[in-house]
Amino acid sequence: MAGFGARKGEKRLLTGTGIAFICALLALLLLFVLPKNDPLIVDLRQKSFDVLMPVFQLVAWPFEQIREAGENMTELMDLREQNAALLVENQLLRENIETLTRDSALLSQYRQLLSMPIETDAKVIGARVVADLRSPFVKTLVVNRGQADGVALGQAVMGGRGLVGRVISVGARSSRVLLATDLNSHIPVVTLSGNVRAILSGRNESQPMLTFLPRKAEMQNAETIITSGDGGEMPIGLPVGKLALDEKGTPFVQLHDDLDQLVHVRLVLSESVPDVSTPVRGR
Amino acid sequence: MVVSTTEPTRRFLQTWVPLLAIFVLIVAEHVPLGGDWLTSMDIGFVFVPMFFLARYSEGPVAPIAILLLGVFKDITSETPIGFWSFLFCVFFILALGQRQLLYNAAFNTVWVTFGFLCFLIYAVFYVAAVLSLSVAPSFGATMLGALLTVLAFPLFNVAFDWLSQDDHPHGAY
Repeated sequence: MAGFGARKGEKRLLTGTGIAFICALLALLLLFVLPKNDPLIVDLRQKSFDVLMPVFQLVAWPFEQIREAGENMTELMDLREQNAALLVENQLLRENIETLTRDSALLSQYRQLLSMPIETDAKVIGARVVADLRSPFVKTLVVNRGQADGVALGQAVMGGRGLVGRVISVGARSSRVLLATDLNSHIPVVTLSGNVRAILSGRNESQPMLTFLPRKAEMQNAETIITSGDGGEMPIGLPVGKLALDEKGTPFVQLHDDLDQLVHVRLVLSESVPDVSTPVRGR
Repeated sequence: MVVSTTEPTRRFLQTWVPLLAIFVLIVAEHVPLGGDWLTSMDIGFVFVPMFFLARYSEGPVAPIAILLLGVFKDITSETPIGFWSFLFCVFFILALGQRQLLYNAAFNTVWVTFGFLCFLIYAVFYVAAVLSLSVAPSFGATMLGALLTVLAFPLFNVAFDWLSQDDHPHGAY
């Protein structure tokens, strides 16, 4: 049988198939010996994405150009309809601003009366999705912002309209985002009107479900779901989505954002929420 | 015994072009294209250059590089280290076993052999995922991924075909 690097008449130590067998055994060994969530491996993955980011951007470039060209064409074709829709939306937003200004003034007065701490405004930075790591097993993204930009573990990640996930590892120039649909994603949320608290849990499907609901929770279909801020990692009140029921009657959340279309995201660089048990004078 | 009339440059290309193609395809899998249906399955275009590599490459570089590329895929696709590397190595071994059978074989024979190996490795993928990961992928989506890979074979094969011209590999590796 022929092997490697040997000349005629020489005995060969290993054949190609032999080396491939050794490699397969080594891989099997790695699979069963290496711990799956070892911090060293998590760190290795993050560092790899830091190094690979330019490669991802280079490979993605032609696809982005094609997509942008397609989007430009669609926008040009629908220009009139879009303009009419934007005029209506603009009018509605003006009305909302009036209501919000009034509510903001009232809120400020209530805070003073209750001596509630003033939550600092969360700083938001934009980021670009450089790699989509979604597969049947995980639902994560890589974005081009890291420690240098103030990104930290657990920070909320928003799409254009609402929450899409949170940061699970941070590198020097990139971060990994666990989407709200991932099986390992659990985010504390609350209904806007009923004040029903629950956990938004991913199930590796297109939409996450609500778990740990109170037994006699009264909720309405299409009710707005926001972050509750429990645990202190995320700010209170980030919009998440609308409540809906599947065919089995299980409550799930229709996220505001389409996770398939995420090109840019916003990272909420929130500081930890002040402890409300400590009396703090409001402004 | 391997009999080859290939000049060193072509031999070099026959090893390194498929390896580079595998690397690029692993990276390209993560280009954000949108479409949830794409993410619900694993389309293994990487198996096409790997199949070519097993048929034509010589030397210890190929199997070792396959292992390393598997580790690279494990890192980028967030699967446990060893998962894809094991599948890559198994596929490579299976493809190596077909060298003699595919010597001077017609394209259809090569395609059918690739298809058989592809469905076999996807079945191993499914079993390995159920055994070693906490999430079992959908069997239907897994087989659909295999089917798409097999259907894409002729397209990729055109690109690799010119590398194999004037080459006559056969015998044990």
